[in-house]
Amino acid sequence: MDGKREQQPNEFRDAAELKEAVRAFSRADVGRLRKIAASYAFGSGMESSDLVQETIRVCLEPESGRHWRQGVPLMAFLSLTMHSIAFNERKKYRRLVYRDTEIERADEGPTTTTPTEMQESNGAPTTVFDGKASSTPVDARESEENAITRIYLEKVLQRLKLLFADDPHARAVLDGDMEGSSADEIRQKLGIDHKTYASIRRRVRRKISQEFGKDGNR
Amino acid sequence: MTKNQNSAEQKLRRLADAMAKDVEAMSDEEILAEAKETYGDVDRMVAETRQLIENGIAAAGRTHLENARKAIKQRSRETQSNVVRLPLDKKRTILKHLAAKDPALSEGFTLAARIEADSSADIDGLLEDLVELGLIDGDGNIL
Repeated sequence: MDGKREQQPNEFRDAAELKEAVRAFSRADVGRLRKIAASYAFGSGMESSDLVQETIRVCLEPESGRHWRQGVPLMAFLSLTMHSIAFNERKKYRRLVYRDTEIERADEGPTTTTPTEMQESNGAPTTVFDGKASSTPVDARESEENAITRIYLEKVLQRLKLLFADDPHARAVLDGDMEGSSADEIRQKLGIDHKTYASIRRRVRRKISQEFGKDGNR
Repeated sequence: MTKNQNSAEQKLRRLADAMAKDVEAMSDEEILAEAKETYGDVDRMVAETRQLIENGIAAAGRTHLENARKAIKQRSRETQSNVVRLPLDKKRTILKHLAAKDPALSEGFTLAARIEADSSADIDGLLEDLVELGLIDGDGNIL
């Protein structure tokens, strides 16, 4: 075996089949697609509406390298694509925030605020600048971008913790999700049955939806 | 990337994955009930989302067309660029040989007259036309 797998005929569904299938979505499927988009838009700076549109566009583009494999449920395929777009979008968002910072820097001149001070003051990420000249601009820029992103993501996490501060079970489910624990692991840790677990998960989802908006990025 | 940043990003990624998986597994009734709670008017949300799907389909069509145009342009540049980069005397020689080989063509396009009198730009245009007609190849070889 040379490590490459030959593509079998009809292994993938074509664009016409994909179009037909998404157009035939039931009301519930459309709702499901929108809610999955809101889950992935969450914290990415992208709206769920943009994510739905972009996902369909990308899935239909032969050059995108994304193909709907025979036997894979369409919703799972779209969900996987959304995951990828949302997390690439996070990187793009990071660059946009950096660009804003650059514009602000040009307007105001250098300051001596460090990313750490910025984090401590809990200010907006667009005002971060350490004011130091660097002999390696690319490294310095990357380091600033990383600092800005870290602050932004930490703020999202902080909002989540505050949101569930008075609901220890919901907080435990949230922490379990963020650590990558399975449903069984979380249930066992909390000592709760399936029904209670499902109810807590619903509560978590609804509260996040209220906090971050129906489009997932408020 | 620092460990902390990676950790925050990873946590949000895992949370988003867990939430999306939940939604994938929900029954139609649960989806519609939550949609009503979140969006209020479910019919409106469904109509809006169907429109987003159509917008995505249309955008893919535009990108596809744009890529096809780019590919044609690129192919055309690749096949025609060599002949127009030849020295002017070489270009004139190609046209003279072509005229000698096919007098009817020479008459039809008043080729002989144009070879001597026309500017370099005119000759390039003529050579490109001949490539398109399949009378010479991209390197100026008579076919």
